Amino acid sequence: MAIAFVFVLFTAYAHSLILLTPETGNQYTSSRALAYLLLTSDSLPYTSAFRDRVYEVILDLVFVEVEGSKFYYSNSSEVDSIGAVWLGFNGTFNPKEVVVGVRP
Amino acid sequence: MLDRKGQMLALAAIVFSIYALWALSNLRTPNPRVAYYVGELQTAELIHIARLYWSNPNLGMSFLLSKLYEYNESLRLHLKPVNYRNNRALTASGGFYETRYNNSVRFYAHWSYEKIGSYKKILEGGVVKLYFNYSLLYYHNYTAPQWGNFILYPKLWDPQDLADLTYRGNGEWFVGVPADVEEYILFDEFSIKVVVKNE
Repeated sequence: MAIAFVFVLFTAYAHSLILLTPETGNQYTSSRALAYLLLTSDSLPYTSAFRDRVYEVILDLVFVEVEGSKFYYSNSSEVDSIGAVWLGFNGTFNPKEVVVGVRP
Repeated sequence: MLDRKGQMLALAAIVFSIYALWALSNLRTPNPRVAYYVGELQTAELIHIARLYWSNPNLGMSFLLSKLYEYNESLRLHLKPVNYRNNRALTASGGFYETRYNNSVRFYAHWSYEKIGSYKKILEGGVVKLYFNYSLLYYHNYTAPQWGNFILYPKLWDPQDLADLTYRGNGEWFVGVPADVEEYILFDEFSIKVVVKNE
């Protein structure tokens, strides 16, 4: 009986540790910052200013990737990635896939 | 059934397993992972495609939404399916473009203007032309449960380069347009059309 109880506790602990690791505050913050960039400009990722703007608004930035081209700002053993897409600007359809890597 | 000694041994093994698991979780090689967060970013994507649609309705709202859902898979944006309704109006004193999603997200671009006078402008070659002067208000309002109202004052520009545009702040402009045209078309920085009709 005692073993079964401890086993259940162990299983619950293992699942919560491995599967339900909560997202960090920086993921929320970075997601909001990326949303802000998306709301304020349709053309930003099509310009050379994009990386600088991301660096300005996102804390603990590790990398910025635009259409597979990755630029590193720092090294980190732990990276959380947040993806977004700009579908076009000025009435033209021209999707740009953006991934931002941040420290948790 | 294990005896007391066996139970203690099993208990010790389990406690050790918990410790080993904890130690491994700290040592494991981290892999980049996409955050599972549905909020501002997903809503901003919907606003973005509505704005793109109004800058060129020929793209088609359904097409843009379907493309967004393709990226939904690859980027794991976790966007839920939405329905939408588009609406627009053009009157003698302004107009608006609106996209309303069924998840309380709304794109709204609005302008209104009134004539405040006229003036004569000397153009190249000494030609004198009559202009009507308007006071114009232009703004975007992006409504969402996550942030309430997000007001943006996009810049206006004149593709024909004939109008006189003066920005006064907070979305207010002085716009001088040639009096001999029925309507004058400006664009905002997202290429959304803003029409000024001469009285």
